[in-house]
Amino acid sequence: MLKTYLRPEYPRMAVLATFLAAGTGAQLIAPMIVRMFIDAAAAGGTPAPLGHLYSLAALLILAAITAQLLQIGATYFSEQLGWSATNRMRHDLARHCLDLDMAFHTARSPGELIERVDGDVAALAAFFSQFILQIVGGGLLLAGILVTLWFNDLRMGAALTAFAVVAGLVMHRIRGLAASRFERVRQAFSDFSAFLEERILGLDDIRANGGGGHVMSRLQPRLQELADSNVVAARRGQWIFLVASGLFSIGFGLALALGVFLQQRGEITIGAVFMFMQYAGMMAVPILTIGQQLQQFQNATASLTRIREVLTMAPTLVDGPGAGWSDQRSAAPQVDFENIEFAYDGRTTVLNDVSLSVGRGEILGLLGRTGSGKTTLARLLFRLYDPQGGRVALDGADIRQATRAELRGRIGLVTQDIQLFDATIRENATLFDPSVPDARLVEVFHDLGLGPWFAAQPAGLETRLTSAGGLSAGEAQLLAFARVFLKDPGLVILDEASSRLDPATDRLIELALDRLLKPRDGRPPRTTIIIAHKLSTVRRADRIAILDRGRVLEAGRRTDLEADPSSNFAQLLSTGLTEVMQ
Amino acid sequence: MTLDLLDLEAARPSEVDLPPPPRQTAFVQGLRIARARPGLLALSLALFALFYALPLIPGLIQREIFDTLSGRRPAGLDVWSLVALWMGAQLSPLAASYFANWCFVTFTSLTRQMMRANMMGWMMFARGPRPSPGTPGEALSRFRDDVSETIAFIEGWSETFGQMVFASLALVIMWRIDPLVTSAVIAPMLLVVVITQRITAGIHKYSRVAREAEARVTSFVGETFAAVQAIRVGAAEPRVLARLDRLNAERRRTAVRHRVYVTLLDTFGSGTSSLAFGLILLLAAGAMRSGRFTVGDFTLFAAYVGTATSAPRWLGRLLARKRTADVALMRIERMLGDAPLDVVTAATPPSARPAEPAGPLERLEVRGLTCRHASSGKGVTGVDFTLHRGQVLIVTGRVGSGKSTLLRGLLGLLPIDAGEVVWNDRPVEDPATFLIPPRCAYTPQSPRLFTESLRDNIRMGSGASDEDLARAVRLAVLDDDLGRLGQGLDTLVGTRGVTLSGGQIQRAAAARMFAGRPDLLVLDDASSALDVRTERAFWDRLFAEGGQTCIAVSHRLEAYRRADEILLLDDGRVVARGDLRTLLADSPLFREVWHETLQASGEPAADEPRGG
Repeated sequence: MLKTYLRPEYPRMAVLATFLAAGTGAQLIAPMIVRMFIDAAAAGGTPAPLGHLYSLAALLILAAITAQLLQIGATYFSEQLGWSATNRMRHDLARHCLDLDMAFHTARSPGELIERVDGDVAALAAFFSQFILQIVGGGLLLAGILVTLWFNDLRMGAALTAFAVVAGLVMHRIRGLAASRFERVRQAFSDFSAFLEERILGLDDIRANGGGGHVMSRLQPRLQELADSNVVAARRGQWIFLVASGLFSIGFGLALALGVFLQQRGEITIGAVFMFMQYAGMMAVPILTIGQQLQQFQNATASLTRIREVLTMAPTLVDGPGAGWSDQRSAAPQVDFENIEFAYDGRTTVLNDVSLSVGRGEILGLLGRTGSGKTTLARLLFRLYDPQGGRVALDGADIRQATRAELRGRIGLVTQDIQLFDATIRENATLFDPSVPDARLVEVFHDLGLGPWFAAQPAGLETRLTSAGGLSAGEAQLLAFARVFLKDPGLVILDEASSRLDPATDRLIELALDRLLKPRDGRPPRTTIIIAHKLSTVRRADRIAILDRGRVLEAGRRTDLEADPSSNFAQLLSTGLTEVMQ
Repeated sequence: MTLDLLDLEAARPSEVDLPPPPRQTAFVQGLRIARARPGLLALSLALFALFYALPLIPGLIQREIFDTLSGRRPAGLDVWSLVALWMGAQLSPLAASYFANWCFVTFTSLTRQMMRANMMGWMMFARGPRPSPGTPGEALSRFRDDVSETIAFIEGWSETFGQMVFASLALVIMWRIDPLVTSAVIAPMLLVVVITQRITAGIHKYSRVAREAEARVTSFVGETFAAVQAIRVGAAEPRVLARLDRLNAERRRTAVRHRVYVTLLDTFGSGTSSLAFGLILLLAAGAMRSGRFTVGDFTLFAAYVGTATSAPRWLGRLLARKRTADVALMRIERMLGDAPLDVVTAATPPSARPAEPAGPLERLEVRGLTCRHASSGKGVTGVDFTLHRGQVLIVTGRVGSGKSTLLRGLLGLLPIDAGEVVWNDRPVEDPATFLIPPRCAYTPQSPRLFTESLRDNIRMGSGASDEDLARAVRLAVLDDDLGRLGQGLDTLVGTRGVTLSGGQIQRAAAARMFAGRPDLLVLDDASSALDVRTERAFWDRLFAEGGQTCIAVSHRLEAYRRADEILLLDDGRVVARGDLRTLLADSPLFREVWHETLQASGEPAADEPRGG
């Protein structure tokens, strides 16, 4: 999976490699200069001229500055690389999650999904950008040191190469030591996030109902788990540091001991002993950073595992081959529910052998108590879920034949809740579609009676709305209505559209409905399904269906049902009327 | 672990250049945090000092080894014993590091826990209305990242302290060998202090910009998944992803710039140690030629120069962390509103205050309540009413007339501009902490349930008995639903449990309100998501219970009929009051609302053929 995301970065990687190689060269020269300096300044015999020593010192400083400049360049390219790779990953994850079944989303809070799509990827971003810089840069330096050592003294080269191999193997062995500890920390964070999110959203509920103590008692175990998992993770991680540091000291000691031995035999100069020690010391940096990066690698592996987990979840709802509906977005379809069987969890039946039909341009009023399955029926029509039995058809074609984009392009939905983005009015109303002309938006707002509200917005369409507020419930719902108007679909579902509004806004919506339901420029009217608890909302219906505990209790033409005093619908009407008359 | 932090408030242009308010400094707060766990911190610092000071010893031994090799020193210990000693000294700091790390991570984990509990405690129990903590994503970054940044500053103390111990001891040792060559180490150290200051200022600026860009990505991801159904239904996936890409690109640009600046600081630091090493060569050249400065001395300088010159860099890094922590604390402060300085760093979190003494409700009086939203100017003005025990007050009016604002202002959930609430002749000092169970309970217009059992959601720590629960469930007309939920009251609800319908959520919230048997019930349109029969049952049972004192926003006929008084609001003012009969007779506006209510209830006579 890493390869997929790194492949487009090959050009950047090439530039990066050049910088790293040049930087490694600059670093390798320094100890040789120091060796020459020591031998020239302190060796027996005739001391070198002072000018020679000064030029060696100047050369050393120059090499150091060059190495630093190259380092900055390498950082720039590796960061670019890391961020573009992980941005693509974030994009893919978001797209994938948006494609997954609703069951995936209802099982997870947005806070949890932020951790999955953003938190895990952010952890990877650091890894991507640092990995090449540290592991590849470090590896290059290590190799350069060993080659230099071989050229200087075969025995020293052999000893430190052997050491490097052993060190590398040990580091490899301890790599997997603590991968799971990050899993636990992340899980703890994810639980905490979900907990916090709910409490923040329900702050008024809690405070006004004296739930503070309860929340605090639930918070403590979560915080405790965060602290515990963090301590455990850090302690285990420390072992990796200890092993790496111990290794580095041993390598350093090896160079010193071998150097002392060779110098005592008169085979190398004292400057060479110091040079070997410096090279051995320089090996510590790549060994340590590689070690640290491996720690990061574990961190990243944990994130990667979770990302892969999400990416391998396949949506059970997949696009059909296509039904050629793309040019029929505004055409009113005939809708048939045929022998629908459905349960959200596969066991508890929500819809049981439901068959309903709505003719082209007809209005179906769907009635029933809360939990009778009305909303579920609408979700099936949108293919947010698929039924376990039976089928939903538009104009006789099973909706599973169509792509979801085709299907959803034909249907508009007004729910009782509207979620706003922290974005402009325009973006919220069009769901980020820049192709909708401003004039059309303004026209729709006026049609909906949102004119006075819109006129009061300081920056017009560019006024930012926040999810925190700024819109009353009624205004928010009218905005949801605006979304449907802008879409101009041939099939509209109103899900308890007027339930939360007061009578005045109800009337605004009735007026909006008038516009939505009337024939459009000579085309037939939209097919409409109105889901409501209240009788007034369905008074426009041509047909009525009453659901009860997942079954169709009664269905027929509204006028017929009204005329039959024994019908449930007629009884419901009289209940409503009784209430009105008293 | 460092977690980059997020910020949204600062994204607004007018606030970008605001300096942190002077009263909130990370240093003062850090000291307070340290005071909460003084022993653990002291132990950690001591272990860190040991970990940093121990590497001085191999440097001294190395000096002896090289002087022996060059024949400058008559052998005391033979060279191989020295090499063995050197090896031992080289390994000794590792043991110290293990315990230093253990102690310190325990300290930081516990103090992070402490801060988070303090923040939550304040939001739960503080007096007065709470400012909005922003989106959950923003609040999360306050709790997660800003707390981590604050504690990261204290982490910097231990590292800096260890570095300082090493640097001071190393300078003393070097000075005693050769003051002139030692100046080759000191001069660049001073340079570092000056230049680091400049670079860190840049880092500070760019890190803020980078975080803002990051926060926009995080918030947008959160909003996207909160609105996933709307996005699907609107087939807006490609457009949402395109927006994500734009935000991502901006985040990359700002993050890379910030990172390059950080690297500049790092490489400048290590560049300094190379520069110092070069200077040692320059200054030692003459002395070494004449034999005053030995090869052993040279190797000791070489061993110390790296760590010693990095000490000022650690100091610079510490200052940078302090700035970051200042900003983090400022954001936390802004989220908590009026919290005093010591709240977030107190050793124990805030808890519920003992309520003002008050008898059972006999009479509730609201005088001149004025409560306007600062931004929109909407709200209520000068609302008065009096409610006696057992009476029912219904608040009605059109959308935006201020009904919810009236209830929320009364309950102290919104800041009020004027007016007072009087409980049995006694003015309530702080409604937010007074009008809670057992005196009062509230069902908001869009109630929230939490991911825990239905029982816990209803009881919410109120200590309600099983009998109270049964009564609450019955009053809320939730009894039938319980049978249908798999495990009754033990059913796990909320985002990660069973998804309840809108009506069930509203009734569960009503049950929560009933559970503590409060004197006063405050309902905001509590039955709006209910069907006709359920809703009738709700009001029937509420009134059948008798003696309930209740303030409710409603448009329901059932409610109007039973009300002792109806307040009709229009544009935030009471325009009519009285019982149903009086209002129908006297108020044209009420008759209009009433008529609309009749229509909304489904009078078939109002049915019209389909338009057009």
